[in-house]
Amino acid sequence: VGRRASRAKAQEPRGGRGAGWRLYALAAGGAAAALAVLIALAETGVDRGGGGGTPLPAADATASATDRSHVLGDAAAPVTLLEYSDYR
Amino acid sequence: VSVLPPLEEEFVTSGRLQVRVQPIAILGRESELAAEAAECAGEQGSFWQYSDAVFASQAAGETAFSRDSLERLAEGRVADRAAFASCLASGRYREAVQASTAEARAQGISSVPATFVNGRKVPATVDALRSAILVELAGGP
Repeated sequence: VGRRASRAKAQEPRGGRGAGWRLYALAAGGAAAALAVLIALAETGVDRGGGGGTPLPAADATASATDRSHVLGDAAAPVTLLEYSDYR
Repeated sequence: VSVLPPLEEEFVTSGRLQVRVQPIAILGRESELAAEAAECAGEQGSFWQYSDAVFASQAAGETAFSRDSLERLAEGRVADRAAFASCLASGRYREAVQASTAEARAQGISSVPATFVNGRKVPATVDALRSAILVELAGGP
């Protein structure tokens, strides 16, 4: 519970309380950039290899018409973490 | 549940990580309703606050979601509770939630949370994700 509450604190340096819409606006731009990278990776068939993970299928949901992910953080961040979650 | 908060504190605030969350509903109608409610909160710029509240309510013993309980969670977290209630009642996000859930299933996502670091599926544990993030920050595997 406390960890979830900390998320709001994490946003504050990027705009503080009440800056949700600005964050979303920034996030929208960032999402577009991230999508471009993901699409490029999918199209070039890049297999990053190693690490024991499984590459996300080329039909990446983040680059699909059903994408409605919410974004937190700097669009220029070198790493993107995507989480599919269920509230139950 | 989500494993993101500790990672957000460690990496997001320093600009090294961008987190993207997509609620899906693979656990039934209550999941679907909660995901719809989160989208409605998002209309008012309150997705994260509301999402945190939904997870917290479960930790506090909430065992079922209903339209009423989800509206109560919006209290103090969305600017316009009436608009939130209207949004939820309209069901306007139902199709979108169902579509993204179906697509996630089609991609083999059958359990949640399902997590990907720079497109690579990584077990949804804090340790595994932290390791994967550090590998990417170091230039990739």
